[in-house]
Amino acid sequence: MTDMTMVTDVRAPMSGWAPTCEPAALARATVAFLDAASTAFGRATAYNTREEGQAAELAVHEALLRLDRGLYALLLTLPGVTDRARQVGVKNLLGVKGDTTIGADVERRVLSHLVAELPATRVFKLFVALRAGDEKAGIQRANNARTRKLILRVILGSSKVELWAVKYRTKMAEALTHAWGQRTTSILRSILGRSVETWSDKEQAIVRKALDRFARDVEKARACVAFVLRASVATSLPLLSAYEAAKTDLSLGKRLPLEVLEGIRSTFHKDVKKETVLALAKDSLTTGQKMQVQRRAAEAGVDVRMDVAEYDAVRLYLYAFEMGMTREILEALVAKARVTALQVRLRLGYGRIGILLDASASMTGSREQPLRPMATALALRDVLAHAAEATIVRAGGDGDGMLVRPSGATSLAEGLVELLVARVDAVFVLSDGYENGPAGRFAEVVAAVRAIGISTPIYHLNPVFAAESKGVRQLAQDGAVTLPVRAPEALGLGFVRGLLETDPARGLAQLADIALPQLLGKEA
Amino acid sequence: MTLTVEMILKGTGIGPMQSVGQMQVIPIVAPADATDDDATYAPPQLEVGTSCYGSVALRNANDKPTIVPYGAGWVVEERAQDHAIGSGAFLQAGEHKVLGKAMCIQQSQPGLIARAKRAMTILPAKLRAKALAVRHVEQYNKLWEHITAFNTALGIDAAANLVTFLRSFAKELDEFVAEFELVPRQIGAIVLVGGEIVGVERAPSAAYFAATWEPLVRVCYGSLAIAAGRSRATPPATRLPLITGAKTLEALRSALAELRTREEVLTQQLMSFVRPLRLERADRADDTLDDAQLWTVAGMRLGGQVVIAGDAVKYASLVAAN
Repeated sequence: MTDMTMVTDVRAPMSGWAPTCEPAALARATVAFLDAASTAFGRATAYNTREEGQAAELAVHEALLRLDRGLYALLLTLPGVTDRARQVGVKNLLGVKGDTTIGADVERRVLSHLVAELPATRVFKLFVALRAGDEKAGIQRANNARTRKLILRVILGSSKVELWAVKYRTKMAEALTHAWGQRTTSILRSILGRSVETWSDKEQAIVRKALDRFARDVEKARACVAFVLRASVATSLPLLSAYEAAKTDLSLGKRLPLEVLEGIRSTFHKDVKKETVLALAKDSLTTGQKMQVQRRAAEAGVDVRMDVAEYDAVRLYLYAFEMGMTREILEALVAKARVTALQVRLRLGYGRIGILLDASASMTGSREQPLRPMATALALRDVLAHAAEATIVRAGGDGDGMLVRPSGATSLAEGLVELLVARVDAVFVLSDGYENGPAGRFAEVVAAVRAIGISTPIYHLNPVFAAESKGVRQLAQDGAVTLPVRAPEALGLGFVRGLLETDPARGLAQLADIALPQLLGKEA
Repeated sequence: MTLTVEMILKGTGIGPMQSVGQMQVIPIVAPADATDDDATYAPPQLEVGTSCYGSVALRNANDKPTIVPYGAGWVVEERAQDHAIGSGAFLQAGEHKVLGKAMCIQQSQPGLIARAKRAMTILPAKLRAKALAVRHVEQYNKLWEHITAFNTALGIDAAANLVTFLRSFAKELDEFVAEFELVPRQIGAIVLVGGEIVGVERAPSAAYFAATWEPLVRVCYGSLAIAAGRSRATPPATRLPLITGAKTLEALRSALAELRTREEVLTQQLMSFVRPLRLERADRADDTLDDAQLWTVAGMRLGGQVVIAGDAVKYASLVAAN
């Protein structure tokens, strides 16, 4: 959307944004929120049961919501905030009434932005949760006019409505039924199952009120609703037509999403091999699928082209771990690091930095997401190295180039001293916090360094969070700041979090500064 | 026949000691030219099932023989009686074997384990020793009394249920796995708890050791570290502290280097202590595969099982006798 009027409308209330309560209290609530919003996944961890974890997480959300609803809404748009936190945030903003410091119009746009940022699968899961509540996910039901309108606006106003109709047919029908209610849905199914010429004035009015006013493309939205509600009506929309045609001739479904085509194959063409489906759907794969199917495609002799520039640095490192590093990936990683570094540089404020990279075996991470901690640490290293003049020291690991595989024990103390001897302005330790050479040696050295009178800031950026490991572990209780960072894009946020603890008012203002462009950038 | 730890560790080297809390590990590493392809034995990745209480059916799904560690156990998600074995065993490639002198470790839980690939645990060190001692007894509940005593000593539910222990200390046990990291070519470990040597591990290959290290450090030795942590808050004397009045970074760097040297000396002293430890072999082997034999061994400080082929010790797992 390129609506400059809207941009002005959004900026106006924020330009006068100021804490509505005591800044220190608001900063404390904000720090707690940022930690939860970037680390909590609503699942059990080694420390807590799911119920305990969710209770603490929801309390943190509600505390900030009560203190400053506007700031709460804006912070949900920040990079590094998990999808889970955004789902809870949408529920809270829809389910709890209250005055907002950013105005109702901006809050509505925040809601639309948050939902638009979620992957489609999570969007539909959220809609189902809003209808019925999801005790397992800690989401209570929110069934009001705002919720219903949001659902209709998101689905019917989406440019992807046709894709969603074939890909999430049942879930989309459920969400629409929730928004309209059983009776209206039934009436709409009946109306949409007939040609427009046969509709009475009253029926036309019903369709306009329930459907057309939320639609980006009225004809397309009507056809898609008819499809998901299984109203038998012919359509000329390409994906919907392909869906029906593929039932008799699989090759006619080549423009359908891979998983949809595989579903049709398994039901209507059991004798056709899976590799045939991959060959047919190779041009309609999503960016993520193109990466996921590379090995399978290579084995099947299917050429699936992927543009490495479309993937974030962490995913590229994970891909390189699996498939090997190529010049193309390497160049993409450097280019991405440069771009992100430009954003980070201003907030970093250091000319010369030291980077201590923990590449020990534990950076392999969990079985569920193998190598993600190492991939994240490598991506963070790249951004930091481009954001300032950097000296890099590595502890453990195999490999001489950019790709370092985790290996060996963790001994970080010597590396820290080495960097401080190099007289850097700040040290960034990229580590999961598991130290064994021996445990506590890093903290001993930090204490000794401070006793000497050296005040060089030491930041421990920890890429391992509750769901992947055991929560964020500190290397030193005193003398070093531990920041949870799950992606290079969230680096700036991490520094502001530190500022919130030392200068609450300035930190809050900086947060608002980061959050607003996020919202505007996505809408512009 | 008398064995020594020196014979068990023949041809291996050591890595820097790792130290977290009450537990410390000295990695045993293979020579640089050793490869896993030379290994005779595959890691013990097994299909496991039970058809009656006190009996475990194992199938080696690998294309090489394997050694099942003594005190191995299988704790399953579904409602079924968890089981463990006393003695270890050989399994040929693809072999299916029923061990009839196994034991139940989850009192009052009915149900049989359906045959499938299962994650292996290894009994807590104290229970492992008890299980080995009763390896010839055919009685499904032979470990219950010891499990009850073990749980009681840790201040948890007195029922003879190992799952109670695993759940009560899940956080600590999980952390041991991340805290103690495998180093390249690691095929074994000397394990210390509270400054005392409590274990000697020697595997036939790095792949085998990697597969068994998690259950060893998590449960077998982790249980000892938990117990030690309950009785003492201070680090063991074998964890040397950095005490320095350094006024400059250079001085601090020197102090760190000096401390590293002292740690290396300490590690060598510990190795000098453990290498001559003697172990007596039982009268007869517990299992045989080709020219390899599985023996139970015991000494004043350590006991467990070893695999000897010809003159070479291929495998050893020894835990503290007390």
